[in-house]
Amino acid sequence: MSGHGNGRPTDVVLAADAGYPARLRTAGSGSAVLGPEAPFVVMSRKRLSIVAMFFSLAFIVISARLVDLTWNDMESGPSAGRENAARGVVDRASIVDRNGEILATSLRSASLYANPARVMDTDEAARRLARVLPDLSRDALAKKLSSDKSFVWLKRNLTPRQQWKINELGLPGLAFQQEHRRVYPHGPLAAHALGFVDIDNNGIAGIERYFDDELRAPAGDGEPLVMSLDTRAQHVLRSELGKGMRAFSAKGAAGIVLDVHTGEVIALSSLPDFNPNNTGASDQNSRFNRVTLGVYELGSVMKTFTTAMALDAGVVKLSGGYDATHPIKFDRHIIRDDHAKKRWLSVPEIFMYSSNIGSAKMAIDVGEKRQRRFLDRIGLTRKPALELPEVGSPLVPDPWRDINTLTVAYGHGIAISPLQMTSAAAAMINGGRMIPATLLKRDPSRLPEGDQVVSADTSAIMRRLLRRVVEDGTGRQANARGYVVGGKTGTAEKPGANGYRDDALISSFVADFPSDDPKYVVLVMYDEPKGNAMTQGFASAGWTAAPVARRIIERIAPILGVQPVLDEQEASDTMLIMTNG
Amino acid sequence: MISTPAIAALALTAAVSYGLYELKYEVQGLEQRYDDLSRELMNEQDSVHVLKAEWSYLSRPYRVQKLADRFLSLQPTKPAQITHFQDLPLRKLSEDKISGNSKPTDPLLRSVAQEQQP
Repeated sequence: MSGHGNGRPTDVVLAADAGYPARLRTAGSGSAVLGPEAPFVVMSRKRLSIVAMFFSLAFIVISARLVDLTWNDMESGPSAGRENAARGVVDRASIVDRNGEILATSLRSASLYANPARVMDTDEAARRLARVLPDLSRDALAKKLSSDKSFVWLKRNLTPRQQWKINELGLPGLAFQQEHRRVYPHGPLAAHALGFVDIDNNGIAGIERYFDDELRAPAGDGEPLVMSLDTRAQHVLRSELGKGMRAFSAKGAAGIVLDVHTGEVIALSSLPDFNPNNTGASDQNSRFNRVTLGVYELGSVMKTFTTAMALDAGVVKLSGGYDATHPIKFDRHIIRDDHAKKRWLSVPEIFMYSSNIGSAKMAIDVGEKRQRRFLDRIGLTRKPALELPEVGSPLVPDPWRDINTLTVAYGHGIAISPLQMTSAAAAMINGGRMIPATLLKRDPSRLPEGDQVVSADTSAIMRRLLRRVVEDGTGRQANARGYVVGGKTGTAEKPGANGYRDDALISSFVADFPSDDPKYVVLVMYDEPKGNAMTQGFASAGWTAAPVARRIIERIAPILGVQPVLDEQEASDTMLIMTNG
Repeated sequence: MISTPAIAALALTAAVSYGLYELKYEVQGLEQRYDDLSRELMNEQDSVHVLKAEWSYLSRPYRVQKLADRFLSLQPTKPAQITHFQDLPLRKLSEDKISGNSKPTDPLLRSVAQEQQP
C-alpha cells in the first residue's frame, strides 16, 4: 500500500510537466525562453483557431446544404406526368351509379383547328378535308380556312380514325388540340338526372350543372360522383314507361322509384327524353324534366294524404265513415263521385272506391288550418330539395279559399311535381318519417332522421289501405303476384281554357312494395294517355298507369333483392315447376 | 509535412465526393425511369379508362336486352321461380340408408357397387 502511495504523486508531476500546464508555465514565465514575441504567438494561435473554427463551420454548412439538395431533389414536387398518374387521367370527374357503373365520364380526344394564314391552297384543303369529314360542307370549310383569324376550330372531338386520316392528308396549317370529351355510355338512359355539358365541358343541366364545381375540381384523387340510381332499375323503368307511352299514345310520361327508408332515388325517368351525347338534336320538350320540374294536378292519389291526415288527427276512426249519397254543393261548385255508390261509406271504402265526397268531408273535419300545416310538413307547399337545378315549385291556391280545402282533399286545385308526390307517399308508408329525396348514394349509417309527419300506427293503417286498393279497388291491375303491392290511382282532368277538359287526363299510380314491410315506392304518371283495345278504351289510371307499375315492380323487385312472398296457390305452382324441372 | 489526420480527412472527402457524385447520377437515372414508368402508367390508365367506358357502353342494359331478346329465349323472372334456400325440399333418404344397410338405391351407384363386387 505504501509503495503505491509513493508512486502516484510522481506520475502526476510528470504528466504536468509534459502536457498543457507546461505550456502555461512557459507563457507565464516564458520571457526568458522565447523573448518579447511570445504574446503575439499566443494571439496568432488564438486567431488561427478562430479562423479554423469559422472554416470548419462553413464546410459543415456547405456539406449540409449538399446533402439537403440531393435529398430534396429526390422528394421535389412530382412532375406533371407523375401527378396525373397518381390522380388518374381525369379532367372532369366521372359520375357512377350506386353500383359503380359509369354514367358519365371524360375521354381524351383530339380537336382539329387551323391557322388560315398557313394554309396554302384553301380550296384544295377544303376539298380533301370534306372527304375525310363528310359532316362538314366543303364551302363552310373553305370559308373558315380563308378567314383572316389566326385560329379557327374546324371540328371538335374527332374519332381516332378521323385524326389518323387527317394526319395522313399532311395539310400544312392544320393542327390538333388534345381535349376531353364528356361521354355518356348509356345514352338517354338517365338523361334528365345526369343532364349534360356544353362543348367546353361546362355543366348545363341536371346533376352535371348542380355539381359543376365539384366535378370540375375532383378532390385531388379523381373520385367519381356516386349517384343513388341503379342502372338496371333505371333501364326497366325507362323501357316499361316507354312501352306504355307508345301503347297509350301519351304526350309524356314520368316515373320514379324511391327507397322509402333512405330517400334515395333508385330510378328516375321522364319521357320523351334525349341523348346527352348529342343534345343538339333534342328539343325543349324532350329536355323538360317531368318528374322534378313539371307540376301537375294529380287527382285522387292525393287522397292518400287526406286519409292519413284525418286518421292521424283523430277526426275519424278507421271504422268510421261519411255519407256519400249526395254530391256536395259548395258555393257554385258541385263535388261528385266518379263511380258513385250513393250510400254511407266507411273510411277504407272511401279510399278504395276513391270517393271525392268522402275525402272532401274528411278535409272539412280536419279544418283548413291543420290541413295546410300538414301539406306544409309533407313538403307539398314549397320547392323540394333535390340535387338538380330543374326543380319546380308547386302551385298552391293563393289566396286559399274555403273551396280549396275540399278540392285539395281529392287532388284538384294544387299542382305538385311527381317527385313531391313520391317523397310524401314514402313518408305515409315508411312509418311516418318525411325523408328528403336525394340523387346521391347515402351512407346507410348516416341517414337523415326525418320529420315524424304521421304516427307509425297511421302509417301501418295506410299500408293496409293501399294494399286493399290493389286487392279489391281501382288498382287491381297493379297486383304483381308475390310482391304484395299496395297503391293508389289518380286520374285527373287537365285544366284548360274553359274549366277542366274531360278529353285530356293525367293518369298516375303510386305504388309501394312489399306492403308488409315497404322498401320502395314507385310512381308512374302519363300525360294525356288515350285508351286502346287492351284497356277497353279507358285512359284512367287503373287501366294505364297501374299495369305499367305492375310490370315495373315485377322486373325491378328481383334486381333490388326483394324476396317474393307466395301464397299457397303460388307456392304449389312453384313446387310443380321444381319437380317438373 | 501533412499530418495523418489531414490525409485521412482528404481521403474521406474524396471518397464522400465520389460517393455523392455516384449517388446523384444514380438518383437521376432512377428519376428518369420513374418518369418513364409514370408516363407509361398514365397511358395505361388512360387505356383502362377508355376500356371501362367502352365496357359500360357495350354492357348497357338496353343493348343486352336487345341481344337477349334476339338470341335467347329468356323471359323476365317470375316470382314463382325464386325461392329461399331453406325452402328447397330435402332429398329423400332411402330406408336402407336409415337402417344402416349400405346398398345404394341410386341405379348408377348400384351398378358401380355391383361391378366392384368380386
